[in-house]
Amino acid sequence: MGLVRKKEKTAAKGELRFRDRSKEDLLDQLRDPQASERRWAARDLGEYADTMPVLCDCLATESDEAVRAAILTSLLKQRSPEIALRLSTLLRSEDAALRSAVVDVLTDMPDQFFQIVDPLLRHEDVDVRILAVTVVSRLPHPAVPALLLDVAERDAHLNVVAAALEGLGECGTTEMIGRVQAIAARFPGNAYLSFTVSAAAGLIGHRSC
Amino acid sequence: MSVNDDEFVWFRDFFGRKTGIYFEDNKRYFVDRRLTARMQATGHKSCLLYLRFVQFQASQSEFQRLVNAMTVNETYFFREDYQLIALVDGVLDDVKKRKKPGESIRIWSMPCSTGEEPYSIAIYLLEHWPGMADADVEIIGSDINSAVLDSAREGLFTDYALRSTPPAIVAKYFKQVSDTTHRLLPEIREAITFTQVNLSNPDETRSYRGFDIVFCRNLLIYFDSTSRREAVECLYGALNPGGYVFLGHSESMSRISSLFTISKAADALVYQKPL
Repeated sequence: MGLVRKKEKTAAKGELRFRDRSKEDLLDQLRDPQASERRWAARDLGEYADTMPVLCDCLATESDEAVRAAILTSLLKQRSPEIALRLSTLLRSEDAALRSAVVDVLTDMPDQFFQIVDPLLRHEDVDVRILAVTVVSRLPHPAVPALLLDVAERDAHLNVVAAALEGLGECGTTEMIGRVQAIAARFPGNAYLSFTVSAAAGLIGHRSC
Repeated sequence: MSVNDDEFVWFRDFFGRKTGIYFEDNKRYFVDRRLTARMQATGHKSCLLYLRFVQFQASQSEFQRLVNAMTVNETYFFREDYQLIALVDGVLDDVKKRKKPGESIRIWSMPCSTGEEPYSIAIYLLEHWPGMADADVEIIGSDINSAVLDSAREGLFTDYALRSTPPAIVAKYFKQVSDTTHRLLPEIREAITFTQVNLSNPDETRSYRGFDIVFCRNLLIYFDSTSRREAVECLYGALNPGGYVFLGHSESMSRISSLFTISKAADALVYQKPL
């Protein structure tokens, strides 16, 4: 007993996947009953841009978290505005873990997300708007402060406005402080919004000191 | 001989796609120096022509030399030893209890650089883990850099690499070969397997399976977000259910993957693949 060394060629255990890896086979394996097979298929399909719509469809119904992660990584590799758009439809999912995973991936494709963000920020579903604001707030992009301020000044829903203010607290600029403070007047007497406005303006001011 | 802004950006994107390693603007000096050195070594006066040579050379040997130049990272024995304490104080016992008779515990050190990490693990287990008495442990060190792997196999280390190693351990496991150089004993050197692998290349990583513990320290910080996710996917696939990942002290799985559960062993945070 102790330190052992296996023969060089077995150091990395041999290929355990015996199934064919052509694109067509991989697409078939996306429907395999075994999650591990689906996961490997999703990972290897990351090399084929034309299979991304299928992966997007699978994501909506896939329940295994590891398979989902592999699908999302492949989608991220092949990032495009079309993929971002299809992913954004999952922001309406009832599955909180899936919504959260989608937010993370959209955050990692800022250029593509920016091309589809406007309709999301005006979506009829309040939850979609909040999640879109969440993604925008995380993006390292110079257009973010203005976009969030526009949402905060325009959106009718308190929670969307509060989410935008929270983002502004992190990235807003000093010349925005007056407009941020004015947002409290949109919801007169609302203590929560008033607090959020103060916090955002305070954070912006603190950063400029 | 210099590297202009366009050449730097082109190289950064190219190198990032191939290796997952992404150089921020603040690494410009580091990158420029190494690119210039490789241009000189290959007789290229223009960076653009050198980059074309790297891209299209059939053997890709210059690309490997460039990888070697860009990925030399300083390390030393028993670095972040609180993780080694965690390894022997909980993690290994947990792994061992799931092993069937005759099954080895498999540890992957990736990236292993010049070998300090896998060798430290080996020595630490021999010195501090009672479970070694009735367990087989297989340690594999891997890196993208072929030159550091050659150095790891050679097992020669300077005083600087051993600066955190107790003198008694140096005396027990190393033979002094010059005023400042020590050679690890063959029993330890020959117990570790070293392999070359690019974590960003699924073709290379797909055979890495069945590990119980992975040390992947101070690598993800060099990756962009996509490569980070790919690397973590690879680690997940490489691990047995219940297997553990140790990351560097400044690294976290947060916002990369939710596939692992986080727990504390001794003073270290470890990530575990669910059973």
